[in-house]
Amino acid sequence: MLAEWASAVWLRMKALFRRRQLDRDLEEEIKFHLAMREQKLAESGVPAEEARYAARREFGNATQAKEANREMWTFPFLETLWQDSRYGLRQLRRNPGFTAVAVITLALGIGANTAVFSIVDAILLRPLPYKNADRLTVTWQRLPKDRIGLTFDTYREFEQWQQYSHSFQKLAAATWARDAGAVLSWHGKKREMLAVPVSVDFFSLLGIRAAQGRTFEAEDLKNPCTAVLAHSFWQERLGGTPGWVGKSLILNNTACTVVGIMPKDFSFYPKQTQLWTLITPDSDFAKKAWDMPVGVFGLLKPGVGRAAAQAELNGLESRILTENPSLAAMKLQPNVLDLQWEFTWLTGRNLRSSLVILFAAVIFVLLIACVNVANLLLGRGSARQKELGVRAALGSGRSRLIRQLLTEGLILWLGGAVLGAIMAFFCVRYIDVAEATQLPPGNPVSVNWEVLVFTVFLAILTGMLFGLLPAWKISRVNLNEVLKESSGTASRGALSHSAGRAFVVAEMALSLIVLVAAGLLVESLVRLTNAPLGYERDHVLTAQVRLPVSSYPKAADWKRFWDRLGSQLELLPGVEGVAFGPLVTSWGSTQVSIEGTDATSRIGSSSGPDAVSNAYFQILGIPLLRGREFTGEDRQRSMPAAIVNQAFVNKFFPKGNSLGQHIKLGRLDAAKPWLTIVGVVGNVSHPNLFMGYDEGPDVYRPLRQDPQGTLSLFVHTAGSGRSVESSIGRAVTAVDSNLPPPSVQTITQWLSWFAAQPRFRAELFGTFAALALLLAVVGIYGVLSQLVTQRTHEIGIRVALGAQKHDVLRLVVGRGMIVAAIGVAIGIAGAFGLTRFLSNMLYDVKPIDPLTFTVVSLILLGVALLACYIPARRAAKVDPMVALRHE
Amino acid sequence: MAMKHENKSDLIQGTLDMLILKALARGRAHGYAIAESIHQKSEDVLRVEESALYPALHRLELRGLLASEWGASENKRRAKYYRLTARGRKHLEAESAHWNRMTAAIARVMETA
Repeated sequence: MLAEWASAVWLRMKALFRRRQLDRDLEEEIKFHLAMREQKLAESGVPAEEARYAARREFGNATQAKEANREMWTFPFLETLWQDSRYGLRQLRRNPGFTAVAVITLALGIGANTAVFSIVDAILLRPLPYKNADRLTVTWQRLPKDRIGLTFDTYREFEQWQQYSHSFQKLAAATWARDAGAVLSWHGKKREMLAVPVSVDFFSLLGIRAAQGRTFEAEDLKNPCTAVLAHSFWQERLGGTPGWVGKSLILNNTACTVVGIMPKDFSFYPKQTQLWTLITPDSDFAKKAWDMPVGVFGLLKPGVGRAAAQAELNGLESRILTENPSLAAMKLQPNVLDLQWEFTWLTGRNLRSSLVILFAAVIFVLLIACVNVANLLLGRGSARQKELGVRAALGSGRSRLIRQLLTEGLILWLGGAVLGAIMAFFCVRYIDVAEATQLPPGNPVSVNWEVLVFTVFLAILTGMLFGLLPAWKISRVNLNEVLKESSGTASRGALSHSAGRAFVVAEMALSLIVLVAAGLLVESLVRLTNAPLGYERDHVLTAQVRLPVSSYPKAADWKRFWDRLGSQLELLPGVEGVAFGPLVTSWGSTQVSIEGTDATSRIGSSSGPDAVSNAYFQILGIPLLRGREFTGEDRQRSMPAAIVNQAFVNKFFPKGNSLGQHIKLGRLDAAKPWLTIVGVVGNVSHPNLFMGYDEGPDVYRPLRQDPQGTLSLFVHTAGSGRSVESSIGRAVTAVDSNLPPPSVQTITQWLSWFAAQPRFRAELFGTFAALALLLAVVGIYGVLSQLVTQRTHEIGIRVALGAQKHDVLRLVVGRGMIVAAIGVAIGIAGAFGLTRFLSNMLYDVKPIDPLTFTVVSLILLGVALLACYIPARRAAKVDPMVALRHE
Repeated sequence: MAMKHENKSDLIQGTLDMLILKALARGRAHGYAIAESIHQKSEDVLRVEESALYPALHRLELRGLLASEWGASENKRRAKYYRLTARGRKHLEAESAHWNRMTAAIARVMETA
């Protein structure tokens, strides 16, 4: 059966290209037949002339045979489709304005979907481009009750798991925590770069080979330093010249052998990684294994689930942690997570749900576009009643007319798909380049063939759905009415009245929902970037300086460096003050014990301890509420001092005075000094994991008593500080020419990365909401002006009966606005139901924020008013004579 | 359109198809020879509508029951020769068995009536 069908299709396909040949063949066959018959008749004695006619007569209708044949040899369905398409294209070419508007409208709607789908496809649908991607995991530590607070494992745990776990085929460690990063010496200059230390199986676990050279192997463990380069680093920093494999780079003043360069399309978290260095047995990782935070990546054995692996690691932990009681006290538990899931989480906490919601939003945009075009088709259908009437009169059945109209519609939709795909291509290119860090590593976002198939499928689906209604309505031709010239307008009026109103309601409602979503995200972004943080951020420049252990082994060296840097910076023109402290965006937790509060002292978590220089609070504008700031008296050997913030006081000393109280960082029995609280300062907000800010208890320590090798400098400038930026870098290298010049930014700029994901989200939603608004405006205007045109006659009568201009205006605008208001009401109801899906992406804004709802509703109603007013004014100018003659 | 055509003359066509296949059972032949053969074998009872013969031939070819090739005829003219394919032969066997059962049944009904 199938073979028969296939051979028939094959023969027909061949026939498609040999139609002439087939015709000629049949012709020849018939001619031969006639000749034979003629000959036979002639042989039996019939005269030649007579024989020819007799043969013809006997044969019957040759033309019919030929026609039957032609139909048989081809695909009647395709033939009709081809005919309809050609006819449709001719019709569309005849109305270039209509065609352009329809195709562009659809292109905007479909293109938005194509662009978003290509992001969804790359991030959520396609597996990571590594071998055995479905078995790749990452293991983090987290508190049993805490849903979100994931932290790194330690290198020691990794070593033990690697040795004793049976769930994994391979385990590898990689880290970008704390001191990930290295200083590259390049042509006499020092540059800080993102180097990620990894264990030897890292690349083989992912199953990715190097593009040049090789990845790490066991023999590299004997060398002090080996590196694999990222393709982009090789291209951009090393000029992309061949022959780097086997050469050395100077990293942290050590020669590091390059063993390989990764392929161009390879990426891992963090995406900006410039090279990977191998963790060797002589490194700090092995020597201070409990102090080295790493992420542990695993390839599960086939058939082993993540839950089973996690249970096994938890079992191993109870034994491993006996080596480290203080870590054991934190009661962390390893969590084995899917790598792809984790990549999206690391990149943006709500990336997954925002993508799904974004997808829903662009589908709304597409619906608006489709409604617009359906309405355009309806409108044009009324102008084509005559043509369709003639075709019906000539014998086209209704189904034939619908098929023709549907084909025309599909041509528009497919045209929109082509143009939309082109627009999406550029849009995606922009996103992939400009917003690269907002997308997780793995698959690049691209308009690939899967995305194109989706696009075509979407175009055909929506084209069928939205093309059918107009085709259905238009094809209902009343022959008598249409062919009688004069009554054309009457049937036209009945055609799209109710449908047009339904369209306006739908468009208003859909665009209101998209606009409200965008409005909420934008408002949330504005609040996020303007949130009062409790410190000055505009006139303060900041930069992070990391002192390498190799040249600064002792705390005394650090102190000397910070002192010299401080005095260098203070000399710069335009500088009003200098302070040192922790990164403004740092977060962490530590244990705090309070003396004498209870037999078992309360232990709370706090961000810090943050070692700060004496001027810190003054430079950052953090107010001193009680007690004193740190002074020169707080030296290494004087009384251990601490300053806490108001949140700390509220939490630990709700009644009594906090000044003079003693606290300890760590457990009560920890061998650490008791600290005396000497001052209380105002709260500052710390960025949290969910792209918001939290105020929590903080403990500050004087830098002299708690020396640090890595600090941020804070420079209060007189003006904008632009001129000071480069001199700060020079001041650092003036103190130590071996240090790379740090990147200097204002605190606002420094915080901007933190708002990057919300900004990216707000940008995308904002763009699509603007698109929705634009399409809705065009659509509403189109529907209303059509309604007005149809009612010209009625308006003419009203005017003739004495209606004033403003009466007509009120009539038209009033009717339009009632419809618009219904749409807005439905939209508000819909948005009420839907915006709660946004709730965990919003900062300081409720999903049913009355301000956003009101503003968006007013904008839409205002726009609708404008869209009504223009046709209404035209209606008011109707000359009754012209209008009545119009009939 | 083509579909409707087939349905209307289903019986006749089915029979014509069978006759064509039968005529080709002995070997390849061109259209004229097929028509003549049916005519002669049926002792002038069955007269094939010649204009219907060619569409029928082509339909059978499309269904893969016949194959065709161009060759020289007895009088050295170019003619299109048809022959049975393996599938065509099988189809013919099935059809003739069916036909025999049918005619036998009809004959019995006619006798007893």
